[in-house]
Amino acid sequence: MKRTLSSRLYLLLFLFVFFILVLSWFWPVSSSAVSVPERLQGPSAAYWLGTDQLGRDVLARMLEGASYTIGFSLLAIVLSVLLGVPAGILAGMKGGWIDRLFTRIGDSFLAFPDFLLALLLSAVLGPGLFNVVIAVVLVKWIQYSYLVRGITREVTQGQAVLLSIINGSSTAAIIKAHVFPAIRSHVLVMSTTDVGKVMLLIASLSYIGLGAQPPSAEWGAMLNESRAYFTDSPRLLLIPGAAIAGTALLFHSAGDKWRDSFLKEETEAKEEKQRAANG
Amino acid sequence: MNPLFEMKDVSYHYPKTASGVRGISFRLFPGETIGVAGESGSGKSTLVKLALGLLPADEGSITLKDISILAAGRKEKLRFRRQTQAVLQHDVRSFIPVKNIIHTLLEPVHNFPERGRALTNGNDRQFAEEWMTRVGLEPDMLDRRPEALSGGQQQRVHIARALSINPSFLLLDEPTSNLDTVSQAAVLHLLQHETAHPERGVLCISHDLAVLHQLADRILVMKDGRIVDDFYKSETWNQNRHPYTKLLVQAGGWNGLEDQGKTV
Repeated sequence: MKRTLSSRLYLLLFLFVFFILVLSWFWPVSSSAVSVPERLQGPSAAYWLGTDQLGRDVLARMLEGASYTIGFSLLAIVLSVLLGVPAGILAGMKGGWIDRLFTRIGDSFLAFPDFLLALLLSAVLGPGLFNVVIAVVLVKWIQYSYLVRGITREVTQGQAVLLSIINGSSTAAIIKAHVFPAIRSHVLVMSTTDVGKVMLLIASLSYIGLGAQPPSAEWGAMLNESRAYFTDSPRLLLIPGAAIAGTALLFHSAGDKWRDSFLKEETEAKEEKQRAANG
Repeated sequence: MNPLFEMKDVSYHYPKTASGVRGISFRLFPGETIGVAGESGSGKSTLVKLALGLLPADEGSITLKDISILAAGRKEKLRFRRQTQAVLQHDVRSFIPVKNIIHTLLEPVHNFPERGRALTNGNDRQFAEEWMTRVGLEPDMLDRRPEALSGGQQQRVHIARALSINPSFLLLDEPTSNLDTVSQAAVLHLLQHETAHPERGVLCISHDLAVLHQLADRILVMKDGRIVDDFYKSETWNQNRHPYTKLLVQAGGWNGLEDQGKTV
């Protein structure tokens, strides 16, 4: 009962995030309309979340920022998965020098912390949200391919795959029937958890000026722009800050929850097999 | 008569280790079952992989009918696969995952559609049900997940899968290992009655001489990667058997059967 309740809660939260993303596309108020006389106003009927230092509507900027921050994080994750999963399957199935070359490259990426490497790469690539996404993908893809490589190796060395080979299955058929089912849940869990991490990464890089550029209303960039007004209008920092933290937390804990339920399913399946094996 | 399957002076050794096989030669004729006995580390598993075309040999030749397995290209290899089947040692993870039993059972029929259609007459479901009955399983088990079956039942499904495509060459690798005693006897009984076919050659590998004695016509004994003894089953208790064979016979706790053997 408790489990279904929290599942529903997560579903609602995701729908809420999705709703915000859709809303940001159709929101009638401009996020970049400057109105200096109305600058730094508190929440009112006209401006639900008040205005910023240039008199722009904070709510409109938050909505636009949602599509930047969450949208670009999702884009970065999808690209990392698209790049990392095939590379991991290739290395895991082929082995030999392909695998050795792959692990050498991978180890050199993994030797640095995510943030440091992304910082370095986006500094080299130059400021801009797309460059940040490229930097994040370059950091993240290897983590997916390592995950997938390990599982692929384990699966392809098992007897089920051996029998499929003997039965004349092609490599593509083996990937579809044996490798995909084994990696699916792991990749799903990792990518959900990663959305939060990547959001923080993108927001951090934007905060230090490498990501979204003004007047883009990316949440990290909003934090950066409002630093000077912290004492007078802490709202300008607290709202995007809370949004970043809240959304990151949501994705992270949803990933965690999925991990738990998948692990539970896996252990149950294993126990079932064990029971079957014993009689 | 031409041999169905032949290994000639086949050698293979694993890189960086001393293990492998050396100078393996034997011929398997249609309708015949050859048993290969040996302890773990004797080279049995290497022999299995070589016979299934999963390892390249360092020397020698391996042929099935007119197909040279070591030199086979993609097409030839597929022609070899179409005629070859195997039942391996029981393993909990030997089925196509997250699918029902029927997917595993029909895999060869689906992979070789021409041969498959000729056998199933287009009715896969009925074909699968018939095979389930033939190996002593309930047809409605086809819609269950492999986890729901016992080890012995899983082996029966594998036997059905292997035989359903009517292979010319069947390899049995420790088919009764890892099973409880009752299932072992049942699986052995099934193999005894179902594998034989006048045009089929069967190669059965086991550490258990008693199993081979029930299934095979002729037995090869392997030790340290070589074939050290080769005899027909009626000759098992001859005095001139290789000392290692005698050791295996004793290790099998066969003393009770010895008298029977002499009268065969």
